[in-house]
Amino acid sequence: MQILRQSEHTTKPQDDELLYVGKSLQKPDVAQKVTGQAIYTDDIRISGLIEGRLLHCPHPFAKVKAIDTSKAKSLPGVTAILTYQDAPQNKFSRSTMAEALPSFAYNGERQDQKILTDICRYRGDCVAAVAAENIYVAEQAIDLIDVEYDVLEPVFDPFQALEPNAPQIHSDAKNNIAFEMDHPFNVGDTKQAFADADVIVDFSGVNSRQKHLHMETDSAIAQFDENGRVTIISPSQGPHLGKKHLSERVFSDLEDGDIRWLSPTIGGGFGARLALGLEPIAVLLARKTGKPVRVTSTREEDFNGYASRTDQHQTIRLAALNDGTITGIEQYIISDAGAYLSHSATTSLVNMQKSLGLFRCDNVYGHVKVVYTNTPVTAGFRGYGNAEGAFVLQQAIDMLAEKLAIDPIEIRSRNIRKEGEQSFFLPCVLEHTRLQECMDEGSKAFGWNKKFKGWNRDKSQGRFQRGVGMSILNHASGAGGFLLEHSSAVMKIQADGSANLVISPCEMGQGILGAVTQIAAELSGIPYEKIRVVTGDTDITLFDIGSHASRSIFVVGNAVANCAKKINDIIRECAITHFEKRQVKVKKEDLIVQGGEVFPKTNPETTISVREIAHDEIYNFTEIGSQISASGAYLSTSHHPNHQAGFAEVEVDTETGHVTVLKYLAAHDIGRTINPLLVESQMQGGAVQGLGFALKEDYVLDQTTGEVLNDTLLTYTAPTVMDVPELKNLMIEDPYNHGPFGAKGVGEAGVVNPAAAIANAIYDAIGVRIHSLPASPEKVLAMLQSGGREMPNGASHVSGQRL
Amino acid sequence: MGRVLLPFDYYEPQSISDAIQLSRDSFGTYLAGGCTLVPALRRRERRDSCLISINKIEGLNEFYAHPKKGLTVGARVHAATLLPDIWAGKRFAALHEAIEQLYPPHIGNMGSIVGNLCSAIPYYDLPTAAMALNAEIHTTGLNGKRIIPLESFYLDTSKNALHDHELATHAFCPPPQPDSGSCFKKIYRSRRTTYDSHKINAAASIAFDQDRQKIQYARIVLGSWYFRPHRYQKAEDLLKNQVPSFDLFTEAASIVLEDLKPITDMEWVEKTRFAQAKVLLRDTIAQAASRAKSRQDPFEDASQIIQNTK
Repeated sequence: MQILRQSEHTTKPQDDELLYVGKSLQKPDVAQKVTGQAIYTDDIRISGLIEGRLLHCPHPFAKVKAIDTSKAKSLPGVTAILTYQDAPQNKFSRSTMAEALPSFAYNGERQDQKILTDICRYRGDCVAAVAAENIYVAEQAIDLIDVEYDVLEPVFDPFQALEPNAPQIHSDAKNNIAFEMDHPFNVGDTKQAFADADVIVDFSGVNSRQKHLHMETDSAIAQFDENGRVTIISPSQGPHLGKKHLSERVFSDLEDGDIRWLSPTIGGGFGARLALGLEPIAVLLARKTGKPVRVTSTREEDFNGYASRTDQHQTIRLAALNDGTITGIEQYIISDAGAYLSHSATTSLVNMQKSLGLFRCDNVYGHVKVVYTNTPVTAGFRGYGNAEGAFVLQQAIDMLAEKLAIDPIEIRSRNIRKEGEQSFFLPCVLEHTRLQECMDEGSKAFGWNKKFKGWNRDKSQGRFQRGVGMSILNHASGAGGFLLEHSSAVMKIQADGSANLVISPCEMGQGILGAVTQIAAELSGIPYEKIRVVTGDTDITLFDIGSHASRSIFVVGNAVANCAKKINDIIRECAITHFEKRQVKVKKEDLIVQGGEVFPKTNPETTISVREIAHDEIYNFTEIGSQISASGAYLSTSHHPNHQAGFAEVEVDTETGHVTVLKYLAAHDIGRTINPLLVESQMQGGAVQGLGFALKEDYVLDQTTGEVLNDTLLTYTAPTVMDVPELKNLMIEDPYNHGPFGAKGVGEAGVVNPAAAIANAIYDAIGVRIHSLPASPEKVLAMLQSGGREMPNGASHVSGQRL
Repeated sequence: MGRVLLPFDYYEPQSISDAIQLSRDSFGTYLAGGCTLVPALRRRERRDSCLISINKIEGLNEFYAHPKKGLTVGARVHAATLLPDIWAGKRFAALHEAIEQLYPPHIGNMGSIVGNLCSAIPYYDLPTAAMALNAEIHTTGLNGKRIIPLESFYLDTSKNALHDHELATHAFCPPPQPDSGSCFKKIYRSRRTTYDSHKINAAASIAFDQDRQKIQYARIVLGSWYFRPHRYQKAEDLLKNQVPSFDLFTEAASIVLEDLKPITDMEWVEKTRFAQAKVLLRDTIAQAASRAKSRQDPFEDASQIIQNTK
């Protein structure tokens, strides 16, 4: 990875003044992970723990006529069996976002699901649950439950679901519309803009339901204590929001404080853990049995049940003048929620927000409709709508460039938002962007000018054709103003001079614990290796909406920065008396805390250790003792967008349709890199996940049975290391005033551009536009065979071939 | 849907006879790497209550590859065992390539070659490759030993020609002809219906005459289309006594296509499947022929001369 400094904008402190920030330090949890010592939910052993399993409906749409649990109950070792009759009738959404969203940006999330149901809306809906002395008995008991179903006619396609005579999946959702809304920031008059335009382009596309593929499948433990308080242990990306949602929507007899939520090591999230999983049923079984209960799921249950990226069918229209100025943008989205709404509405809204806000334009119109089908529930996924939108928008802008014979980079340069203009989150001004620099430096490093031969280049006749494409994005560094974007941190100094840093974000592998520790070390003066992070316990950590939206480094990082500055302040204050005891007269503002030592700026040889100061503060027998501690908070009121440009070079086998990515380069507007190693890892991981989204990961349902056809890692072909091309990442650094040390988010952006850039590169190579993801060989070949005229016909879950 | 395994009895016999005895007494199922059996148990496609691991049986871990003696693979041998072997790579290239391309790669470390061949899963790669190498399955059962050519080994999906309690002890590929080469290739696709397949695979063995001018022998196999891989004799016959050329290979591939039936009723899906199969077959035959033509192995040739002299 290369870091390019935009030096004219660089503010203090300079890198050479920093001890930790900007360094590739090792993550605090890395040793546990690589030695297998890390404790995941499934590793936890609790005295008296019993195991729970779920009975899933085998039909895509059915009503339970009768259920007989007598045989299962008589099986030795079975502790409890619950059916829909024993579960609360409260409806809830697996998405916890309803608790973090203001009404102005969002007209309400349907709470449409029950823990156990008698109306099964997809293969995998939960009908009954068993708790038993061990998982094998629980599994056997599941087999002994007899259920008689009244099988109903299902509908798998969102467009068919919208037809007047389609089966009604939820009785209170007319025409199966789960959610419908105009873009909250529609402006101007697009009809007029299109009427006045010199050029109009129109492009439609849809993405597949990419799976998160977190290595740890879903698991949850629940245990009630003698006071009726419940402890939940599960891999959650947002436990504070989770417990609020659980008490608010699911268990009306529980208050927020009645729930303690522990998140041990998390085996990957990618957005899937930003929702309730098995926690509600674990709580229900624990309450029924009075014992701690763990409920687990298998990989196949994860594929068939929950969750994946939402397939969003989109049409984007652009109106422009002959000089390439975009004068109107329209976006229409029909999203397939699956059987329940979950995150599908919010991801669609975020898609609109990012897609419609990337370019400067006075006439914007967006509309989203989310539809129920009898298919597994979809969810939030890294990028949260942005990757879905970029795939369509970035092809549309290339089509516009081709019509006007303008270079792809040039047309984007003419239209991107500049500093001081309104941001994509319209109420806020765009305070900082280096997107132009991302395009400039990225194209230079990629060799764009040599590789892109122009729109009218002659396509050679060989079997293997090469092409290049690019894409740009804006993404949030936390959704301030849209989500409840605040976080708090606590730091305390132990008697040995080490520190505990109490923070809320969950470590899912992204490395956030290490990055914020670097910030804490830099600003507090406590050495990095002496700061221990405490997280994953809602009884200890302060409220925070979780690890998502590329928010942690920005929002939590700022909270930690504020906290660490206070600690530094207190240490210097306390140090004055220690210096006086040694007959050294100093002022607080003249002192520096660094590497666990305090010393005057003018006399760095005279030091007092933080250890000594901290020890004396605690073990103070003569005056009022107190441990050095501080808390810091941060409230974000804007999105503080980060930006990125992605460049791809591909080779297409025109005889088989197979696409090979030869090279991928991303240039990211990061503000400042806190830890280059972690940033590089995020970028590489994002690029590979984006490559899978673009070319390989195809979530396919049988259109007659609703069965997921590739529900294992044998048949769901995620990219392996053999598919990874030459990857290069550029960090465009220019510290942003509001970020901790100038940092902006980077967690999600890497996954957004690849599909769009690869699709544009495929077009450059063979002159065929890709309308549905993934661009699998047979789809590319089908398009080639028809000269790009005929698109594969099918239903949405067959990778959106309905288009 | 894959679920948690149900409890089962588990045995680890030390000899083939003990294993067969156990199988007869308990109606247990033999377990090698478990890459097919365990997922099937989890999906409740099978409900075996007794598993007999063969992984402690002496003699089933034999692996031997030699250009003049053939390839012997015991039932315990994991697929990845073949990868570092020079003769497996040079003279049994089709099988070597199929193993190299196993997806996900971990299967190579867990799964056994014989287990893979015995599974009779329509989309598996090793049966296609092994059939091109004229493989046979050697067994021991209640009635003694048998040798079953791979071509007649598959009866249906997940059903092979083994009798009750009979144990496949090893697989054998005869030594390839002197100037021959083999190849394996595959293309991944998306499954569209329950009965669809998510890939196409092909393998070929080609041998030239002494002058390396004309094709003397050909085996062409296409897999992941029907319930088992198939040889296509008409295409093989077309190649015999012919000078290799791109057009010849294309014609051979076209002849194979004449015998194929669509899998789904989706027109565009089948159109692309047939087009990909044609390219796959053509390229596989061409690569095998190229290897045969360019084969140069002084050590092997010297061994041949010494043998002939004796």
